[in-house]
Amino acid sequence: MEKIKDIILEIDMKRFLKELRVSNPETLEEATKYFSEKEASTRSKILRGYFGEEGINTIIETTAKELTSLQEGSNILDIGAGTGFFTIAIKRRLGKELNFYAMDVTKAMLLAGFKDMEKDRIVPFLGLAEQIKESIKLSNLYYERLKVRIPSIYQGILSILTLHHCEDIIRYLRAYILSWIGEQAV
Amino acid sequence: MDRGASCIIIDLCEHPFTEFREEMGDVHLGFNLDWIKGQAAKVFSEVKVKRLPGIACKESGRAAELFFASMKTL
Repeated sequence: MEKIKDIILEIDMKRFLKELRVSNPETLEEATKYFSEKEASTRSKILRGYFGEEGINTIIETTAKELTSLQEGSNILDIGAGTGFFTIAIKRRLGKELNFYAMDVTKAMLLAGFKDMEKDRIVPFLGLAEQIKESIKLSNLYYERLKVRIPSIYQGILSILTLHHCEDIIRYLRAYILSWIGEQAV
Repeated sequence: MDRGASCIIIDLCEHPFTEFREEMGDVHLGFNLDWIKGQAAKVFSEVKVKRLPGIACKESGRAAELFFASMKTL
């Protein structure tokens, strides 16, 4: 049976970024090479090396505490989720039936974490932090034949260690709020 | 997103390690907390930013602290 992984695999990134109408698709694709080549396959090890187990737990606990009041069935979007390392851990920590979506612009990262995310019923999709609603709209077109729909409205949005990789901070924050105000998104 | 629910950012505090750009593909060398608060306040009505105590991104003897930001529009 065809899976999300197959669709992500077949997406041509140049075309995807052009469809998103990013002004610098070549530069952006080049920037993601670092993560594809140096981090995707060893992301968990790298994160543990940076923060140690205690630091990782602090990040998970701090985030989970903020989301603890969310009701079952709520949608949560992780922006720049990478392999889903924190997405999975936070979902498990919360222990509720929450719908998690993991967005990243690096195909190799999503693919490296796909198996684990699939186990935890987290839906990965390609997208750019500065263009959340456009990314959701575009990914929904790609996922249409699987009948998978990424929602346009979220009760929680996370960004863990992604902001310092983004060119345009204000656009990033505005993209957050556009996902927050449902009627304006998708 | 329901009004009152949270947008969360965890990221690096401002640091002096310019080599992180090359070594880790970073665009920004972390963020000044007041600056982040000011930028977020342009978009969200309620913004809380704090340093995360006891945790840092450590790499080859260099350490960059982390901050936690929670943003809402009421």
